[in-house]
Amino acid sequence: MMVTTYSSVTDRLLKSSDEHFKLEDFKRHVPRWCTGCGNTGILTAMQKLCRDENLPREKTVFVSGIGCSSRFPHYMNAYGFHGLHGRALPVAEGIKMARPDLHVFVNTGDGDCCSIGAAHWIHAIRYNMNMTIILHDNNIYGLTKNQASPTSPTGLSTNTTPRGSVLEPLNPLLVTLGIQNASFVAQTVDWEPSLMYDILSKAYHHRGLSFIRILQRCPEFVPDMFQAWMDEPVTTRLLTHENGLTVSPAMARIYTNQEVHDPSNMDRAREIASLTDQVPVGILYQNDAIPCYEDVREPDRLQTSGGVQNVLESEFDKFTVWPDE
Amino acid sequence: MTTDTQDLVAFRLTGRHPDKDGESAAIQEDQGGTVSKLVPALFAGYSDLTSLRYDFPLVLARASGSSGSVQSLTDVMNAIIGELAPEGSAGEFERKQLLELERQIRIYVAGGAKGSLGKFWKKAQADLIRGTEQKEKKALKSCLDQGFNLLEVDGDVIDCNEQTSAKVLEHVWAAEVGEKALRFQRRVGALILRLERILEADFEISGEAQAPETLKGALGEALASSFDFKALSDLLKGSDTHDVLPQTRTGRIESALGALKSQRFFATGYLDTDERSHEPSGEEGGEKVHKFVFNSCAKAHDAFLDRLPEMVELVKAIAVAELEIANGYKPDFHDDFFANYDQASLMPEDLDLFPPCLAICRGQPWSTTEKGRIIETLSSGLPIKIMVQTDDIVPVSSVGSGPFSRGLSGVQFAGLAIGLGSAFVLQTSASNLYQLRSELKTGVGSSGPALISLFSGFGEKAKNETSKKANVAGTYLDAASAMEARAFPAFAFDPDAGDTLASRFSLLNNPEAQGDWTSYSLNGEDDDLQRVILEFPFTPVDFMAADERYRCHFVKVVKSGWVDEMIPAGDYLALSPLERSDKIPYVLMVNKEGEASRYVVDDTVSRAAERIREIWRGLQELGGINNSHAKIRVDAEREVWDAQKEKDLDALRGELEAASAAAVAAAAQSAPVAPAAAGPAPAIADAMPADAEAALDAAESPVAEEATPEVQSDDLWIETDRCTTCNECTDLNNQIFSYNEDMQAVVLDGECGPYKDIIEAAENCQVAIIHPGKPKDPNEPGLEDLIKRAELFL
Repeated sequence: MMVTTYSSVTDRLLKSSDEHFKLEDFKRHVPRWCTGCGNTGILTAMQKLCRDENLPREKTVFVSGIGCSSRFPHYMNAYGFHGLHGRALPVAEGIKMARPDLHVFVNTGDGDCCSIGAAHWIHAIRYNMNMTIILHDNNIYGLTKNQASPTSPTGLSTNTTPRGSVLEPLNPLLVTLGIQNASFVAQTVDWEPSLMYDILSKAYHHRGLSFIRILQRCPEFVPDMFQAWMDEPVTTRLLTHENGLTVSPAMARIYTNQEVHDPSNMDRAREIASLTDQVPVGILYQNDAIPCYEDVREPDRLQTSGGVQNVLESEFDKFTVWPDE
Repeated sequence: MTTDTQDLVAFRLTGRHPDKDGESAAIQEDQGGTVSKLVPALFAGYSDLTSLRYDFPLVLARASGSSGSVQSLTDVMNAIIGELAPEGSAGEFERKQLLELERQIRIYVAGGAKGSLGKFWKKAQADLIRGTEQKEKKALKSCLDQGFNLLEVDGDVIDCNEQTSAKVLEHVWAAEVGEKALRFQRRVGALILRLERILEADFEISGEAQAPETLKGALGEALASSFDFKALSDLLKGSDTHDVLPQTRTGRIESALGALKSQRFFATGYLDTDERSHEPSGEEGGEKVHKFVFNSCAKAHDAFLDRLPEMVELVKAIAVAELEIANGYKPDFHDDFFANYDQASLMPEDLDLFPPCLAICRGQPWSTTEKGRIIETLSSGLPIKIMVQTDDIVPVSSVGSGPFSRGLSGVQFAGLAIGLGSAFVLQTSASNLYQLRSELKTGVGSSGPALISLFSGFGEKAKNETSKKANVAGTYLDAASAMEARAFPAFAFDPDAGDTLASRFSLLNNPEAQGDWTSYSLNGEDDDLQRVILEFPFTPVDFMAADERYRCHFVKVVKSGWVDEMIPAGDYLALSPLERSDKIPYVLMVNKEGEASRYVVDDTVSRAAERIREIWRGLQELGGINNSHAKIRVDAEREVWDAQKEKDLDALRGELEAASAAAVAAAAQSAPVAPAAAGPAPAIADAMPADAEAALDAAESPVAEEATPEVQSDDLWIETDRCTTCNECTDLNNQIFSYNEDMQAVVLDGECGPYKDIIEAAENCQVAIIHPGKPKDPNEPGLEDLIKRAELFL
């Protein structure tokens, strides 16, 4: 993710003394999610990714807002920031700006991202900073016990919509694909961990902001939400491509509904994102050519303390305070 | 053989005029004065270069942009014309004025004026306006002002002369070093900053920083009386839970900092807070910074070797700094490593950090020491870029009646350097520098040594002409014709471009590289004023004919003395020695009035041309043209192929005969059958489907294996890869179910619990990946019901 270029000597020395992690090294606390919660699978896939990519724990940070999914940083043995509702992204952007050498991951839910945090979401996509956003989308507010979220389907009866939700649900993929500078948009489902892992890995290696929507089951409040898709693998459309997802023969046997989709094709990506009767899984769009905000805004010169002091002094010199007058 | 022919053959063989008394009818002595004005016919159209638009003069653009740091005036002007002058008659005025301005600049530069493009533009603009009628002055000024505003580049404008190669190369080098300096300054500056922050942070938790006096100093005098600094200090010390860094670590950081700050390879503008000092600078920057441009290879090589210890220290300091910042310095391991790190440990990537040395070697002949040092440097692998400039392809010593001998010139150096294998090699004429600017950049930027062999075209001949102030087309034509005549062909060898000779070696933009010579056509009229177009190859003979020093090897033959045995020099060179015996080669020369005449050439010149052709053919082979190894292989393969084909044909003929005999026999019995139908073709057609079937089978078999249905087992099993880690099964019975190292469920022991637990786990599993198998205990209560429930998950 972060391109840190070391001198050849440092590179050799660091590689020869690299720590090798086990999955347990990234585990911390027993998750307080309900039994059967889809978040557990996402957590495991993420821990696997950290292990496989050998991410130093002191160089990795998970940032979240508020919600069930936002408890994620507590369970990762790395740096974490459990932020304010909807404000995971600005915090993550600040971290990336100050410490571009860190690997930054953002965990956010459908309420956190698509409702209260929607403005930050839009601009985070536009900034295209090099980090990974994982949208845990279970179509419901779970932490506050069953209220409709922006992605809840029409007719869903919840505490806030006892006669059924009336609004069309928001489509996070279409929204993201409609924002300037979207550089990586993917969707996966929590009930296929190997596909989820592959997409997380692709997202991690993408330079730019990668946005992954993970359809995540909430067995507690909406147990049947994705059941039809789970029962009928043919309703899942696997997007395969040499530059995207490549599927193992075992997966290909289960998911026979496949489409070869070139992730550079934005028009087709938007069509796929608009599907309502099928759930697309794979990389919808990827464009490595879009510049990252931190690269574009990289200062011309180093921020030395002397330099900062000079700027401050010259600003202060614009005003004179006469205490006696 | 006529007397004329005999005379000419004698001249060809001896180089002597057979009849000095002028009694030979054919051979005509040139009269003094006209000689130097003769040029090879190819040059006829190029007598005034200032009126032509070509690569020169060049603009050495100061800030290197995307369009490259060496640009041609023509291209710069074309860009402006494209912007300012609409196509067609609408843009006629602007186009005309801008082209006139360009021509004016060309004239200044050809006249030896020096300066930047901006300066020349202003001067040309003033001159043009001065020479224009009053009513047009305003329009002209506005047009040229607009053009000036569109000028995106500025820099020195240089013509093709003795200095060109060195100037262009230094310019490309400076651009490369400028980029390197910028990268270095950013990188090392950031390291220094972060190391200092580590030390600062360490200081902040030290006893010294928390002492009352330091705290007082930090707050300033104004409010000092309001605080009890001793109490504050005690408080801070009490709450301190951090350890200060060990002395060894601060020592290490300080020494790395010292080495980074005192390096002498780049200017240290990055450390200043003043904006002005952030300009990248390669060689400038005061006394402190090393120089990297030298006028001999020996000096460059010595300087590089002298600086190696400094480089080692800097590379070490950078590595230590990076390790410290990454918190990855492990004293047990790294102390020893750095203690033993020396010059031999430096890798090409490490050396890539530093500016390459540039040796501009001009003025043959080089001393034996210098020649040795060039070879030594090229084989050392060190990033030292050597430019060898050849001013004269045929040395002065060989001029006159003696044979041509060619000393160790740039051409040979380039050949040798290819043999060394590790050096980047580029050879070309100065006239071709603009076309090869990207190759030049590659060479200067390559990680190893580079040899840039250039022909300036500014040899003795040009010097003579300069001293005489004769208005003859300058060194550009000489340089360009050397390439045209194969006397100084262009080629590049880039060891980084791949593993094979084919990917490394390139004949670049030599004209008509497939053949021995290039050809040109001459448009003219004959004595009857009828148009004639003559085609000639341009050979080294023409190239030498352009040089008056060799004029004694040429002799003019008047038309009345032309004989059938006279053939163009190119045709002559193509003949074998035996075929040549009675032939007389000639070249066409044109005088100032544009009149062409034939000049017969003696064998000394022809032999020199043949040697040049040999070298060229060697290069062609390297470039994959007429490669002799490939030819031998192809011939051998063809022989085998022909033999096999013949054999196959024989077999087919045999079959055909047998088949037709059978057909005849069959026809005797029943209806006639076309004999061809019974030939070998159906046999092949029959064989094909069989093969295809086999291939299909082979291709299908792995798929078939993949497609075998999932394991049907009597034992409990789990599709582990699909487990979502929801803890349902492990919570239910952790004796039966457990997690593997990827935190996905596996069967620990299927018999460690009741069948009921297994069935419940399968039912609870969110993704239905638990397959219960058959019960192990036939006496388990309610088994019948359980078996029924299990059916859903089998």
